[in-house]
Amino acid sequence: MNQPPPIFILAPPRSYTSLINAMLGQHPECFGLPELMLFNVDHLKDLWEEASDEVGADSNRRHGLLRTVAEIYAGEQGADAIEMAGHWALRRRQMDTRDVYREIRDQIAPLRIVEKSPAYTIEIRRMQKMLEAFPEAYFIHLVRHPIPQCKSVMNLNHGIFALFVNAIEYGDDTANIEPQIAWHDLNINILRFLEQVSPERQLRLRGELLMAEPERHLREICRWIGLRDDEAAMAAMMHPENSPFACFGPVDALFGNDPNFLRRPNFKPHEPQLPALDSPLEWREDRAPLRPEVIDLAQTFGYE
Amino acid sequence: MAKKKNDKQSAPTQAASPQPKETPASERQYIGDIAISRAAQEASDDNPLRTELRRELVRQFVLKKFRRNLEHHVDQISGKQEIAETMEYLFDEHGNPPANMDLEEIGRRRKELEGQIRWLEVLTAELRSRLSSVKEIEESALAALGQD
Repeated sequence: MNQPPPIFILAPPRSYTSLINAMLGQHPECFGLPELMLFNVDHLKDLWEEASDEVGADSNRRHGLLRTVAEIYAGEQGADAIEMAGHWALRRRQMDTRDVYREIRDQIAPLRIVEKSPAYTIEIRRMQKMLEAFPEAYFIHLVRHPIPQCKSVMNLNHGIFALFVNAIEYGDDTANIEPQIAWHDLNINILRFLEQVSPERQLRLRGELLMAEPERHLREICRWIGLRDDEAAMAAMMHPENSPFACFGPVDALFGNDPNFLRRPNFKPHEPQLPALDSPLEWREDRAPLRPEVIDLAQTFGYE
Repeated sequence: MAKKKNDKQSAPTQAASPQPKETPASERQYIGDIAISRAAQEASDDNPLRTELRRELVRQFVLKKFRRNLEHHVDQISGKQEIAETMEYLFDEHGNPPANMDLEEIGRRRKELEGQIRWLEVLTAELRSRLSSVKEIEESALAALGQD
């Protein structure tokens, strides 16, 4: 039986991924998931191992999977359901994560999975695993202006993600977390990966455009994928807060998504104010502007 | 009523297929060394100064993170302590609740106290671990002084 291929959102973190994932996931023919992180590893048991032995930041990386399994098999995310999800995972611990993902896809069908795990963009190999598991998948490359994105990264636990991916700028006798390195190199990873994907199955979207004109861009996405785009579907997507994952989970699986989104999952259309690409950068002591390579890539994405 | 499904279309104009003016991704150079942060990366770095700078950056970050968490938890304790103190008057001098006290209320109180005990046990373990690290540093420093 042909199951609908997933829609994957590829983006560095803090690029409206949680919101847009939840919005698309509310489409009547879709099911938005929290961050599964499955393609980060080869076998399910590896998800229970520490990713970084230096800065942590990965203790919550199983929450999305546990909440998903609880929701789709038990229909709720209470403590008992999360415990059941733990047993579910234990039984599949030796399985290839591509097979685990396909099993989840089959359970959700005929609805279509929508997922984003920004950590997939850290290595091209992770994204290749997505394509190997689902050759017919759709990929949305979601981009955000580098300055607000970097500020947002630095505001989340003092830039833990940037340090987590080794985005460090070295001076003569200094080392500083520099989030623009992550913005640039993760987007390059995505672009290189997308060279392997058929043009019909990939789309680049500036998150700010969708924030300002959600119906227009969501409708465009629906038509591209072949999803219905009637008023009821559009209206459903305006309410990401209705997702079963748009809230904190029980104590054993609290997260699975950006905590800011979990706190305030509602959506209000708005036009984000964008700084000029050559503006001084607040997170740098020297207030230097973005590096030329970053500006060049941002201009390619349509920013000025 | 739902419309019929649209026929699938090509990716709209924002499609990420290389546009005429775009530099192919394979020709763009990385500006950093993106990888999951692991201590082992230091071993592969042949620049000792850079290794030391990186180690210090990570150390400072972890220290700040620990301090923030500790401050947050201390706030939680002090808040809970105040709540507990306001409840103490409910009990007589022998620690017995009033005869007409709601059993559910007693159960809630027991659960709260058990929760606080569990949390304090975790905090104690955390502090013990920190103490042993500090002791190790102290012993190394004393040993170094002794060698001088």
